[in-house]
Parts: sequence; C-alpha cells; structure tokens
Amino acid sequence: MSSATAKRKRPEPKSLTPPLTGQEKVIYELIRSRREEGIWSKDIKQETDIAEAVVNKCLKVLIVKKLVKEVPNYQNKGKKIYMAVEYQPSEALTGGFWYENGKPDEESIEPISKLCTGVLHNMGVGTVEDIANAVRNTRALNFDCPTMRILQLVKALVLKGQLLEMRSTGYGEFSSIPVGAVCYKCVTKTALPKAGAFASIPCGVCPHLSICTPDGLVSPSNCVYYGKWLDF
Amino acid sequence: MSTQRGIRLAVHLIDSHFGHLVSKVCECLLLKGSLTLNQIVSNTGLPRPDVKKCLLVLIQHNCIQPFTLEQRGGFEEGNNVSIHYTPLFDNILHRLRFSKFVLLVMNKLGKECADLLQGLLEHGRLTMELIIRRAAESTKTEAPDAVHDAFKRLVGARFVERCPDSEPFIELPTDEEATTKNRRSKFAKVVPQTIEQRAIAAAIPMEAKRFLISCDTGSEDTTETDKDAPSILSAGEKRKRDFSEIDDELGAAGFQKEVLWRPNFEEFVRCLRHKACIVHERLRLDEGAAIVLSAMLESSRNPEGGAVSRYSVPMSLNAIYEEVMRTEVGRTMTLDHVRTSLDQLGCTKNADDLYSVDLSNLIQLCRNEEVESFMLKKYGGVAYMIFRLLSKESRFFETDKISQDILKEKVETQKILFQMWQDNYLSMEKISTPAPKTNHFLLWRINQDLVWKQVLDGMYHAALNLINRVSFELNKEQELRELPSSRITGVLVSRKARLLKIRYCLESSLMRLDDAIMLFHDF
Repeated sequence: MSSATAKRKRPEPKSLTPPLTGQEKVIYELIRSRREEGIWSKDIKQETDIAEAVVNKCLKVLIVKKLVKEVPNYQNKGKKIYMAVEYQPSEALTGGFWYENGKPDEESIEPISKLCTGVLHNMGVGTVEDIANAVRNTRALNFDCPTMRILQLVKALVLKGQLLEMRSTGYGEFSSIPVGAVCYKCVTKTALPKAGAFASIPCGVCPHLSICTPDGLVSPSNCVYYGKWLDF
Repeated sequence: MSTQRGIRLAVHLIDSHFGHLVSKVCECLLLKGSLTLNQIVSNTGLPRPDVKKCLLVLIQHNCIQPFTLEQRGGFEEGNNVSIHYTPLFDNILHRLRFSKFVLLVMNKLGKECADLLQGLLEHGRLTMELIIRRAAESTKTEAPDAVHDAFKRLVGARFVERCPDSEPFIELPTDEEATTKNRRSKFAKVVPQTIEQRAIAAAIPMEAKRFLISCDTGSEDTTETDKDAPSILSAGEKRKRDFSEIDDELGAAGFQKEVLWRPNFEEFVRCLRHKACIVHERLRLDEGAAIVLSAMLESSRNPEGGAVSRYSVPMSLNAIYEEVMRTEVGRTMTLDHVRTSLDQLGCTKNADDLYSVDLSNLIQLCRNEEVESFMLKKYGGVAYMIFRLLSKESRFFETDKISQDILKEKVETQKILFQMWQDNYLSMEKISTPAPKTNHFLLWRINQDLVWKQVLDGMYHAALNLINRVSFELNKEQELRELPSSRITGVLVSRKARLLKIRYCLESSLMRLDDAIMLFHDF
C-alpha cells in the first residue's frame, strides 16, 4: 500500500534547466507544454518537423539530463510517451488510481477490496460513503483514499458477484439509508454464483461440441470428457 | 424458437417414442413447416397409407395441428381449399418433461389426479369415459365417482383441457381486412401472425368451453357445435365437406363426435415458470420474499389465460398478507416484513395501491445467471465480470473502459474479449478517429437475444447428447440388466451400483438442463 501513497506525490516545478541545443529546447518545450498528458514520439516528429533520428537522439539527451521521462502508456504499451519530469502521468495514461506502471495495482486492490467486504459484512447494508468512512476508520490505510476510489472497488466487487447493488426502501434494514439511495450488501453464501445446468455438464464447455454427432468421430459415446465425468 | 439442434432433439424424442416412420414424417414437418398430405408423401418418399398412419399418431399425441387453408386459385378458378399439417415443436419437447408434470400434479392435487394425468400423457388424448374406465381398471376399484371427482379437480385446476378443433378453417382475408391490416402495420408496427399461429389460435376452444365438463358421458352433438361455432367456421366446415379429397380418412378421424381431453401444457408451463421464479428469489433474496411471491402467484390466475404473462395479477397489500398468513412459515411475518419483501422483489404499485411483480424481469435474471455461470466455467472469472458489465447496460463499451471497470489488465481483458467475440457471444465495432492522428478504438456489446439463442441451441445439443449417453451406458450393460437379481454377486454388484450412479447422474443432469431449456424457450 506504500506504493499507492508514493504515486500521489507532486514535485515542485523545476525552475532551473541545464543548457540545451536549439532542437533539444524545441522538443523539451513541446513535451513540457503537454503537461501530465505527455506526448508520443511520433507526434513530436510531426509537430516539430524534425527528423526521427534527431528526435530520438534529443529525447535520449533530455532523459539523461533528467528533464524528460518516459511514462508507461496503459492504453498501448508499444507507444512511447514522453513527459516533463515535474508532472505525474494523467489517469488516461496510467489507467487510474488503482493502476501502477500501467497495470492494476493488485497489491493495493486485493487487501482494500477485502477490507471493504469486511466492513460491509459488519454493517449489513451501506452506501458507498458508509463503506468509505468505515474503511478510513479502520486506519488500515496509510494514504488518503477518496470515496470515488472506493466506489470503483465496490463496483468491481459487484461485477465479481461478491456484493449486491440495491436501492434503499427506507425501512427494515434500510431504515438508516434515504429512500432510493444506491446501497450495497454482501452476497450470502446461498446467493453466490452457482453452477448452472449447462455449465455443470461436459457439453456446456466442450470445445468440440460443434463437431459432435451421435455417429461421428466425436460422439457422446466415445467422449473423453464424459468418460472423466462418469468415472465412478 | 426451433433451431437445427432443437429439431434434432425433437426428432430423436419422436423416434424413441413412436419409431422411425413417425419420426421421419415429423422431421419433414419440422424442417419444412406446414405441409399437405401430398407434400409430405413426396418429401418423405413413404407410402401414402404409412404417412396417414404416422399423421394420426402425431395428431393423437398432440404433436401436430391440422388446419384447412383457403388459397387463391389460378386464372378464372375458384379458391382452393386444402388440409395442412403444422408441427407443434413445443408440444414435442414437452414429452421430455412428462415426469415433471406428473410430479407437479401429485404435489398439488394428489396421487389420484397424478394417475389420471399419467394415463392421459401416455395416450395423448382420450374421452372422459375412457379416462375414467382406464383409471378404474388400473386401480381395480369400483368407485368411478372418486375417479370422476379427480378428473373434475384436474380440469378445475386447468391441467386438462378439451382438445382443440380438429381442423380450424383459415380463410383468405377479405380485401377490406387486408387493406386495414396493411394500414395498421404501417403505423402501429403490429407483428403479423403467421398462418400457423392463426390456425393454432383458431383451434383452441373458447375459454368458457375449454374447461367445461358436460354432464353426459362425454359425447357431444355435432349439430350443437356447429350452432355454437362462429359463422366463418361453419362456412369452413361446409366447404371442407364439399371437396371429396385425399384427406377424407384423416378428416373423419379428426372430426370428433365425442369430447376429447388432453393435457393442458400451457398450465404446466405457467406453474413451472412460477416455481422457477420462487426458487430463484429464495436463493437471491430470502425465504420471506419467496413466500410473498408464492402467495401472489398462487392465489391468482392470469385472466388472459396465456402461459407467459409479463406481470402477476395486481393484488392489494391486505390480500397478499392474508395469503401469506395461510402458509406455515408466513404466519411469523409482519405486515412490514411483507412490504419489505414486496420492495425487494421490485413490485410496482398502481394507482389503486395494488401490487404486481414483473415476472419477465425475474425470468431475465434467471437467464442471465445461467449464462453468467456458463461464461465463468468456459472463459473464467474475467469473462464473468465482462459479461456482467456488458449485460447490465445494453450499449457499447470501449476496451479501456471495460478493463478499468473490472480492474484487470488491458491485454488480458482484450484477449478474453476476442475469445468471446470469436465464439459469437459479443459483437464488436471498430471506430477510428480522423487523420492525421488516427486512433483505433474497439467497442464491444452483448446482443442478448443472439447470446440466448446460441446458448439455447447448445443446450438442445447437450440434452440430446445426455439422452444418447444414457442409452449407450444402458446398452453397454444390457447383459447385466437382464440378469435376475439373485445371480448378481461379487463384481457384478459394484458394476450394477456404478450403472445406477451413472444413470442417476445423467438423468438428473438432463432434468436440470431441461429446466434451463424451459427458462430460455418456454418462459
């Protein structure tokens, strides 16, 4: 989770720049003007009208002089994006709060998701604000985690089938929640995704179902998956 | 929705129940739609008398519906009238679930009624006299009154109905009707009915007559029928008698003088649909919600009479509460608890404070769960999340948005998306931003109807495979099965136990799979 804290730092803008050649300066200014969005190497070439080899050479120099950095692009790993060192990559580049170096930060996501499920289990039903407050009150996080970010985790948990999204009716277990507010509840063991009828037989997931016929090379009587399934 | 694999399953069922000849005729009808006797003979290449007998068997078992169709004749010729036979795909598949229907009646009305139904299912259609005589003979009792009462209960509960009209007459639409229909369909987008649908609808007796038990022994005066029937039908009958056609023999067989009864599959489907909703809500929510839903569905009958209605019959809170109080578990529930359960079920309240539940929404949830579980097993957890995300909102999602929402790496997400797309579970659109900075985006969405159709098709295939595997296993151990139990010792005991286990596993899987087929096809 410490990594999650580190990436929120915003260093002070640099004021002193080492001496640069004319082309290096043009490229540096262009990169800097793009702030946290960064710029693709091909776009630098196109916008400055400098030859590709020269652009690449200048970029190397700027990186060595610690004026520019290469940042991972979440959307396309092969696309090299350059950014002035004083800026942090935008969410469009990193993928967002829960991403580290263009990949989902599993080290943060997993424990905080468990924490969310745990606090929700204790409270029964709660809105995302309730969950975020309860998570903060545990003091298990050593960085500030906004409610919006917790919502992202909660929504992923709903898609995973671990939480249930519902609207408050205003009474019963929802008495403390305003009517109509979106709230969440832990899924009970009985409601966990159960194997459907089609998924629980070999044909349901058989890759050869399309070529399976009663008298064909692949048939229910010589099927290896059936053999394994009925091996009593 | 009869797909190729569905037809194969239906043909197999007919083949195993009635033999190869009947299944050949049935297959011809299922593949080509409604045909005349001549057309069936030329398509199957079977002798005419054999085809006639096959058609009689299929009519007797409610697998086809004959109808008389009026068609425009050629130049300076009058209109032609011919008898067509249309296959009833749903009724053929119902043969797979007869045991469920019997169990349902057993639980609701008792063993006597279940026995009566069993006989009716075996014979397809019978007169009341025959049903009662058959039941009295099989139970060796001299109390036909009890059997008669059981039959009345069956009809009262709508599990048994009068057979539809043997040959409803479908006449040509008049010029006026045709122009009105065209005008209406242009503006109101009315889905036109096919001739087969019109024939099936026309064959069903009027609601008052459909479940009417006459006091006599079951025979009915045909002149009375003619008097009751609408003028169009009378005209049809008249024309039908006029043409001395090839179908005379079949027509005479179908032209009933006695009241015939048959199982009302529509009612069974409705009951099983309700049961599926209740079981699902018990698992999804709690026992309370299941009791409230059960009370809402059990206490009211759909006034339209259709098997699949979107909403339950509206009921007041007090009426629902009264119904809940009648059940043992419901007695502990407070009015507040009932109200909460109604909200959990997503019940809507109309202007008169009457509650009704959207059953089609509950069925959709069940269908989604079945497909989600299939996705989980076939493609894994990421695909499960993707499917849930896309099916929640039926719109296009960009790859990045999907991977951000499910918090998974883009490469992994994209790989799964492509797999699902290749298997036709997703539709994809590629869009590009205009030059000079051309960017390509892939957009994904689920075409729910297509996915359901594909899953259903797979289920038909899987059901046929299960049936074939059962017969393979039974044939393999044919000798063992024929041995008297006294000679089954040593290794044979474990072999027999193994065969039992295999049979149980396959047949219970088939029943579960059939539930899922009903979920997608009948509900």
